[in-house]
Amino acid sequence: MSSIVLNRVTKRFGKTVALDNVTLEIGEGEIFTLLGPSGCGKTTTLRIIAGFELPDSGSVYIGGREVTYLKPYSRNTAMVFQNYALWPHMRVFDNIAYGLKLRKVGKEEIRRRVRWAAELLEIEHLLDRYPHQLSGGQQQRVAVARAIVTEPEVLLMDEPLSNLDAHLRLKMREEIVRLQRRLGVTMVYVTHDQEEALSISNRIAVMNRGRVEQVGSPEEIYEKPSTVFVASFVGRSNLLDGVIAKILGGGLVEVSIGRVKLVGTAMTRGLSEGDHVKVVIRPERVKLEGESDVNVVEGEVTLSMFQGWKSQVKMSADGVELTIYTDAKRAPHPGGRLKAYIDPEDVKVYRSSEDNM
Amino acid sequence: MKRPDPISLFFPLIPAIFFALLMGAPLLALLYEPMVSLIETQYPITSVLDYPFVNKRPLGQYYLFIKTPEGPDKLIITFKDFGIIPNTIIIATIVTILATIIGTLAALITSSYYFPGRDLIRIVMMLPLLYTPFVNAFVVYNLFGKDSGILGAITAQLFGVSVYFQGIAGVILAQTLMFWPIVYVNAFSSMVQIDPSLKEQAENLGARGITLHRTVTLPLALPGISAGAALVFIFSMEDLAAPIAFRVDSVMSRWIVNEILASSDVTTISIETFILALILISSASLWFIAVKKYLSLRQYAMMQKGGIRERRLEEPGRIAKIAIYLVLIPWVIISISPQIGVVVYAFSERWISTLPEGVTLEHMKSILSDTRVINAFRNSVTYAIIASILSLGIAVTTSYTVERLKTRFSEALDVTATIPIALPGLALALGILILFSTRYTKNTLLDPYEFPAIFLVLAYAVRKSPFTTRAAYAGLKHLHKSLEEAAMNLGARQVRVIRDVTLPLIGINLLGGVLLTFVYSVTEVSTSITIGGLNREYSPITYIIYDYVTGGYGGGAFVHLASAIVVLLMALQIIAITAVNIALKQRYAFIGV
Repeated sequence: MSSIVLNRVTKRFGKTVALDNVTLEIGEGEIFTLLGPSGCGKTTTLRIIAGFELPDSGSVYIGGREVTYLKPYSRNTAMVFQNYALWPHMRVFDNIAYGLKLRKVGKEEIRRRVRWAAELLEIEHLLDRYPHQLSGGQQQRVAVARAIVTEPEVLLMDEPLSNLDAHLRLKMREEIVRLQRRLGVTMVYVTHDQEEALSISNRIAVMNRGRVEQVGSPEEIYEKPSTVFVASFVGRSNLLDGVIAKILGGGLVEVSIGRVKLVGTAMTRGLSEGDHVKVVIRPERVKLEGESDVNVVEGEVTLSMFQGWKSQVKMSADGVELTIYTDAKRAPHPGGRLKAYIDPEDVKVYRSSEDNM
Repeated sequence: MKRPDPISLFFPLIPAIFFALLMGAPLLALLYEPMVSLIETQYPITSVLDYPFVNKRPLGQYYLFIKTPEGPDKLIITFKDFGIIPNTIIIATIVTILATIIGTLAALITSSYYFPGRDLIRIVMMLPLLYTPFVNAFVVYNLFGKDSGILGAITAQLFGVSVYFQGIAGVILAQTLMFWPIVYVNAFSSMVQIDPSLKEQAENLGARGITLHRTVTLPLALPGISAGAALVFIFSMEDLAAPIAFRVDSVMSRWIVNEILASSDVTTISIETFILALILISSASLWFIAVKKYLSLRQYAMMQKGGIRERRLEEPGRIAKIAIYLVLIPWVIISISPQIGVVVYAFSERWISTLPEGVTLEHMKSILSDTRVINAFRNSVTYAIIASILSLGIAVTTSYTVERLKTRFSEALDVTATIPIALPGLALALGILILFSTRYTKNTLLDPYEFPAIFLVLAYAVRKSPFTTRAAYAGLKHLHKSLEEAAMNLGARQVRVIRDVTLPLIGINLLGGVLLTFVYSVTEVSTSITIGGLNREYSPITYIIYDYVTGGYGGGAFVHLASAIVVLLMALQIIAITAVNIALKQRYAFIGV
């Protein structure tokens, strides 16, 4: 169990900047997730921690020891690859035992520890098989067993569940969390699946174009996204263009979105009247009932889609399109009129810039 | 009722009949003929276990040390003569072992490490794969096989002893220099296909350097290495160039060729010759076993789904640096000396002492004005063009059957179409002679003794068609099936789909493959110098080269003329291979699986 620190790490591949001055502090025994769209630099970050890539500038520490230019084999990290990377010419047992053999662990001890890891992952019955005789889920378990058996300081997971089907993914997700709690190992987890990130992590770093947009607990990331990108990438959002009409004080502002006026919470400091802004509203925070007379939007239902436990409703109010999640049983029908109530706290206002999409 | 499409009947049949008639039947004839004679004449089988085939008491020494009163002493490395059969097997075994070690090491270094000049070295290592029929071995002889050769001169200067290779030891040296790149090419392409994450995972768990290579890289590249090694074994057994240059008569290839060229018809070929050819074929089965394993392992491990990235090249460590600068680079320079030497021979006046003397265009002029040479060039090009067209038909039908129709016979056909790579041409030539020496074909167009042209064309098509077939496979593999299904969905029949969609889209692959079949047909040796020597009028160019080098002994003017011809052949190959590499964007257009 070790902390990991990345200090002002920059990495370029030719002309593209994969990581731009990234600083991260990952605590001991934490599940820390790097979340972002493909190409955002999350896998590069992981590979720099593992030592497969060397940063152009900046430094990396594991457990207080600087490892920036250390070779991968001297770092005592263990990585689970997206494609599992099981060696096809070795049986499951030998795959798992490989790291132990390199560490010159005795034969008996190897057998004991491989068995321990195999039991933990419920693959004792597969030890004599070759990787190509296993299902995807089984291969995944072998890859994890191989990683944990050496008792690494740090466990690195590169989209480990992306090749599994939806059902298995949920199951493995739970197991990985349970395993990490049991071992107490520091885990860095890379994914582009925001739901996966929210459900397993202690903390999340949302990355975009080689930069860290926000670091925080899943709740913080979801409830208080610090940028428009985070708000739109994590969870579903209505993303509207507006102009500041009035500064109300107490962090509240009035925004004109077309002909609709809403009171919202300023998420960017120093907004002033006439500024162009992005307005973010979570669909599930729009209520169809309420008493307040602030932020009541009236409009026509244009679409209603049943989605199981909820319905997705689209309404058009004076030319402004709004998506709403509502109880499926009480979903209004297209063509009807609708009144929507939105708490000013749930109307998040960010300054528009070229950067936020 | 399910009705089979005519295509799915017709397509597998064309290559099946072709290979059955031109590869299966001759080989069966080769098996059948000696059996019949054995029974009819009660031939004592033990005669192939006696001199000259097996020497009960080996002749000669392993090496000779000669003290000379004035001038440097001489250390001549030769080898004992164990008789035709053991000699051939011993040479092939030693050459295979040496070539495998060197080729694998070179592939390991160039696929794992970055060092200045790496790309140049990789291109230069391909040079020995250019076919330079016969004359390359004469260069090796000239450099390493005589007292005044470069090796002898250098060792005499340094140690006061002139060291050089002769006899069987010389053959081993020459063949190792000629054939190691075959292992290299196969091993290299196996290694670069290994999913990088398999190596990274091992490093991540603590493996490094030699341990990493021993536990992960080499086992995963083993299929490529063993396929390459088996090819070297077969090529060594079939090789004539090195034995001719080092004047070793007691190997199987030379015996078979001499028997065929001396025969007036097939009945005058001795029964021992057939038995030697059978031994040659059984060596090819070695390759078959290696490749069979390769085919079954091909999918596994290579470039799995997801997260694929280019393998990083390492900075070499100390051991790797020593291997690169003190072993690999000097060795590569030695290996290309035959190719360079051929050019030197072609344009120098004399090359009798250590260094060549005089620059001249006379050799080039004299071959270009020799009607016999011109006629042979014309023959070779004509045969090669027809063989290329035939191979195109074989390639399209075979690859479509294997990749698209997936019938019951597809797998067998896949294997059959690959076998010619490893099929000893001398055995094929002998089989064809037996098969077409009947009462009915005597003195007709189908008599190889009278009219060898047809048989050369067919033999080229059989032996060199895998180059086109493999290019066609590659094209079909990358052509998404949905493009064809879209046409079918709009109402096009299968033939129409092939004509309108498939062929145009894999056209560039086919062109590349046909070009390779063409150049490798022009440079073909085994059937060209046997069947091609039966009637001089129809001889191909490689027979002329053979005639030159067997007529005029090493160092003589004839080698200069032969080299001039070979320089033209080299130019032809370089042009074609460059064109193919540009067209197919692939580097491994050479021999390989």
